[in-house]
Amino acid sequence: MLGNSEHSWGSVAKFLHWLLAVLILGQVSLGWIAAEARLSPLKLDLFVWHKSIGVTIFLLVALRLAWRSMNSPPVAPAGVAAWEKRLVQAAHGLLYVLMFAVPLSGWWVSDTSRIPFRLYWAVPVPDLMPPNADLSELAADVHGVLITLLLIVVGLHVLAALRHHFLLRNDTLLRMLPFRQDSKA
Amino acid sequence: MRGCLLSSIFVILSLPVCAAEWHATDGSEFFFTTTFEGVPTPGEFRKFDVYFDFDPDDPGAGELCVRVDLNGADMGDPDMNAVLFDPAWFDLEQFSQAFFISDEIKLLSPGQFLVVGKLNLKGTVQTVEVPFLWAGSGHEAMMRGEFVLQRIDFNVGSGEWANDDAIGIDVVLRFTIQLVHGD
Repeated sequence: MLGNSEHSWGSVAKFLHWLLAVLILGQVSLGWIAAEARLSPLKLDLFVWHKSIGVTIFLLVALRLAWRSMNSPPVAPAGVAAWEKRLVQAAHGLLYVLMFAVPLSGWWVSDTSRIPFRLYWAVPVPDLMPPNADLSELAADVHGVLITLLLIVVGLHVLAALRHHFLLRNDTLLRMLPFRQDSKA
Repeated sequence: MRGCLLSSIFVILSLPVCAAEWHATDGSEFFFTTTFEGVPTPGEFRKFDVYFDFDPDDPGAGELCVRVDLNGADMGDPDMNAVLFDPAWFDLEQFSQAFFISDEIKLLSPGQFLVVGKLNLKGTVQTVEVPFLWAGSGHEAMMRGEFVLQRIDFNVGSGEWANDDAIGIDVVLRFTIQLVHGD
């Protein structure tokens, strides 16, 4: 099933969820390694990969949000309080905001720096702002703060899924797993 | 040390050889373009001198001397300029100047010439050919040209950088020199 049902996520939503999970964690590690590496051709290559994957993530998040807007998520399991639902909605909203804001702030770092960039060595990216070393440094700080925030919210997201599975014993976690048929379908 | 000595010799040689009939004035420009991960990236040499003994009607008798102070190399970004300072790149602590002294100047077509000479860059001397256009009258002239150097011929970008992976090997040099007659 491509779309979501009342009690399960469809394969498109699952695919985008796990693809972004892998890309985002890989991307944070890659960015950290590239930033820490000594200046070398490899470091420059790693940054081209990091920037290219960042743009890819941004586009995938847009696609995911568009798909979500056409496909209501499955309902919360029984027994979840109204305040909890609102909290979860806010947390998921924050996740989406950060999934846009982190790549955008990364693009801001790149755009205000003098270092030229082509997406995957091929596609020119519009250069919107003049190079400015001070702004680029500020953008790098903002990028770092947003990544930290994102990692915290992702950590809470994982803990909440584990809580549903092991403490509340509902299928919130299981229904997002790939290759699993919905038991209620 | 040997590089310093060689550079000093070139300084000494260049002074008597170049009778500075013409010399460069403000408004002269000397740009270079390298590629960074495949994307052209411009820079500029902001400090250079040109001494030119030249009569377009008798180019064979001409003599061109150029001195570039590589401390004036500017890519518009402090981080990138700091890299130029590095021993792997210009090694400015040892080789802060580049020199070009012509061996031969030929007419290619009316107004268009070719200068062949020795370029001493980072302690390496190589023969290079530079075509240029000359337009001048009386006491003012303009020379303009473009040529390509392979940076690895001069050990610029050595070791792990001595390939086309991240920073391109070809460097395009473009100059527009405004000259005045010096007497």
